Amino acid sequence: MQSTLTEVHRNTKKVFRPVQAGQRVRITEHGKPIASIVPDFPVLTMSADEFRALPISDEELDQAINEALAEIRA
Amino acid sequence: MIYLDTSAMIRAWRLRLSPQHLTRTHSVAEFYATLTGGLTVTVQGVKTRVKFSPTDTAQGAAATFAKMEFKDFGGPKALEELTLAAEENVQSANIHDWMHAAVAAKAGCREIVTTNEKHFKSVTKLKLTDPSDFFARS
Repeated sequence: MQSTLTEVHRNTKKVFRPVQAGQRVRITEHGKPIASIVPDFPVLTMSADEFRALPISDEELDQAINEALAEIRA
Repeated sequence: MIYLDTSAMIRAWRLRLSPQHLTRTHSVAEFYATLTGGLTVTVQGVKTRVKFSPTDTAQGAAATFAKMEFKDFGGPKALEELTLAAEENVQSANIHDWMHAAVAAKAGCREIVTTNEKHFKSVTKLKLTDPSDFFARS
């Protein structure tokens, strides 16, 4: 997603809504990218067994793994 | 011979499996970095970054990789692979998938198991299998 610096000033909540939903938003000024706003989430440390007990679909887990791998490789 | 990339090994870890296939030594480091860095999943309705302690992760790696065979390139072969990757215009983090696929091909694997079929498609002609399908059949 993309927003302008002007939109950030005028309607900050609207710009951040997709970020809160997990999307990255690129901010541009005069058509050039100047920054990206990336989602952040609460952190929880748990044991492997606690994690295995969580009801996570294969699709969600695959997405989480792919995103985490992309992050560590960046 | 079947190649399991890091993502497949993480899926094996969650299923408490110790697969007997092939991977790179580098997968061990990626496994550790990914789990101690955290996976973002839904916990009680809230998107949460779930992290695992270094000790738990090392123990998990030891159990999950216990029966795996490791193959890797030496320095000259790795540099040769970079040249080939450059000729194919591989950029940024895609080099990781390229190297996984190159080791798999060199080792004579017929299949790569990965959650990231989309990225691997651009760097290999080997058969790509989703871990859910693979672990269900094996």
